[in-house]
Amino acid sequence: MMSFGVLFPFILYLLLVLGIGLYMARRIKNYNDFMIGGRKIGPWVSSFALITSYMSGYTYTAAPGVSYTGGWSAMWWGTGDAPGNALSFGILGRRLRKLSELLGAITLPEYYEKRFKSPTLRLLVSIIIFVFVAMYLVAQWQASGKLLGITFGTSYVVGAVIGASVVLLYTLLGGYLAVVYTDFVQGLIMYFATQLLFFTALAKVGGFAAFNDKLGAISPDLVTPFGPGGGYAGLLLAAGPIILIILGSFGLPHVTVRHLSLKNPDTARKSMLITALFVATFSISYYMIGAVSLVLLGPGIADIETTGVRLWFEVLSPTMAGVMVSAAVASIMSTADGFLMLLVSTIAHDILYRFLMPKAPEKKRIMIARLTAAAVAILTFVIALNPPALVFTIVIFAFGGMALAFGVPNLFSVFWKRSTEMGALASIVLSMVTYVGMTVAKVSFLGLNAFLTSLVVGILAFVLGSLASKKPTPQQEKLFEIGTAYGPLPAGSANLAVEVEVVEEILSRQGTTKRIAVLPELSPAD
Amino acid sequence: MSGSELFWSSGTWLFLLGQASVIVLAVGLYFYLGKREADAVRKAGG
Repeated sequence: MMSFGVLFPFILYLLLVLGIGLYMARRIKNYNDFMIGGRKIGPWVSSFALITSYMSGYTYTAAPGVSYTGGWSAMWWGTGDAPGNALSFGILGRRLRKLSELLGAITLPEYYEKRFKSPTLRLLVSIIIFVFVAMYLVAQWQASGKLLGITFGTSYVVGAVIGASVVLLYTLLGGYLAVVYTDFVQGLIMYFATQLLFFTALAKVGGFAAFNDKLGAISPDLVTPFGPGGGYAGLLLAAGPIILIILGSFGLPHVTVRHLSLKNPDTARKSMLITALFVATFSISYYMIGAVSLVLLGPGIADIETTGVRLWFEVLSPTMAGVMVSAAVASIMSTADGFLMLLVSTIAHDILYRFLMPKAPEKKRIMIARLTAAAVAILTFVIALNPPALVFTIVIFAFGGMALAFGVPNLFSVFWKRSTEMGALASIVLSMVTYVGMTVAKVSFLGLNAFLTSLVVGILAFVLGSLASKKPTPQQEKLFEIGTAYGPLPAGSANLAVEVEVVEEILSRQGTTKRIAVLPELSPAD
Repeated sequence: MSGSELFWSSGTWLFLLGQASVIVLAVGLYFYLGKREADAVRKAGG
């Protein structure tokens, strides 16, 4: 398959992302720039950074495989992408951005600690992120090895080395800024290359009506929403994937961390619109490419995850196939860099600086963050060379587990003033235990699968746990009100929970009639 | 029945309508949130 025509655009792509990393390194002025992009990321970059972090190598392997075997019914999985990604900005983004600035939180574990006054919660959230995301990162290096092996015929190790070293290099140089700006460029490549492939293939089939005719001729079930054998007949069977995917956008930490870096809270609204426009059109294409492949290449491909890749070389010129290779590698790298940066912030910011070396000066913190990035990338790469079975087991639970663990508490924390530490802890622990337990035992409850049952458990646990525990303090309630109100933050109120004196001043400026004994207990320990 | 006819009669087209609805919803929400934001800025004297 390998030719210079295919290789050339791919090399250009690698140079481009490395160039962005190099450029962004010059824009890193302080620790916040490295960790969260200085909270100055605009709507387009934020939007594509979220989309590409969310869409992994799955986009070009497993997703086409689903429609290759299931036809249009694959869209039960694709339908949740656009509302999930867009509403994550529209519903969660503005409030999470504003509250996190108010609380002086630059990571999600830190947000949890300061929102609920709970170092325990910060540690628990950090541990969950570390376990799941590290294994997810191993899976991304594996995907890189496999994909480059299929397209260029390189060995698995060489493919994994290329993916891991490029991601490490630009993340090391430019930190969070490099991650989101490379994600933006990678997202554009992914979107336009995929649309080109889909519509070129569709034209080759003879258009939309001819595609459905030919798909129906293979099996009529492929053209119905219920799929072969009526696999999606029934409300819960059909709605299950949609709810899972939507909650993923509200819970997965490498996705929701994009809200914390928005330029301002109102940026979330613009990002929502951009995201809806792109993902609504993108998800149809990347899922249905497998069904188009079925029509063009015929049934019988044993490894269904290669059905999309085979189509590149069937309908595109070598150069455009090279662009598709870049798009597929981009989908892996843009997710891997998000995982890597998330692990860096969790290990360095939430564990090392918070619990072990709180007095480390800023310059040292950036250096330690860079060393952490290198250590994490190398260790996960070594694991990827010969991964133990435990890695695959954890990855199976990663998406649903993190969607449940953080989706429910994220939403309650920005919409319910009465939310408490106990509610969040109960929700995280019980929903995950239920999910893993039911999945392993292969049982359902009242017709609900493991994920939907765990979702109900998580919601009930949050509400009951919060109501059963002590009410939030008046200071916490006041912070919640300021942090969730429309409009910009009152001037000078960033890091409100940190700057005790400033709070006093702002509250009195706002004409708060009831003076509140402010905040020593909200002042963070670090 | 041809595949194309089956696509329209079985309701599969609702997948496409669903995606279009997301865009419409996002546009509506964009203007609604924008109005709330503008009102808040005006109220705060911005």
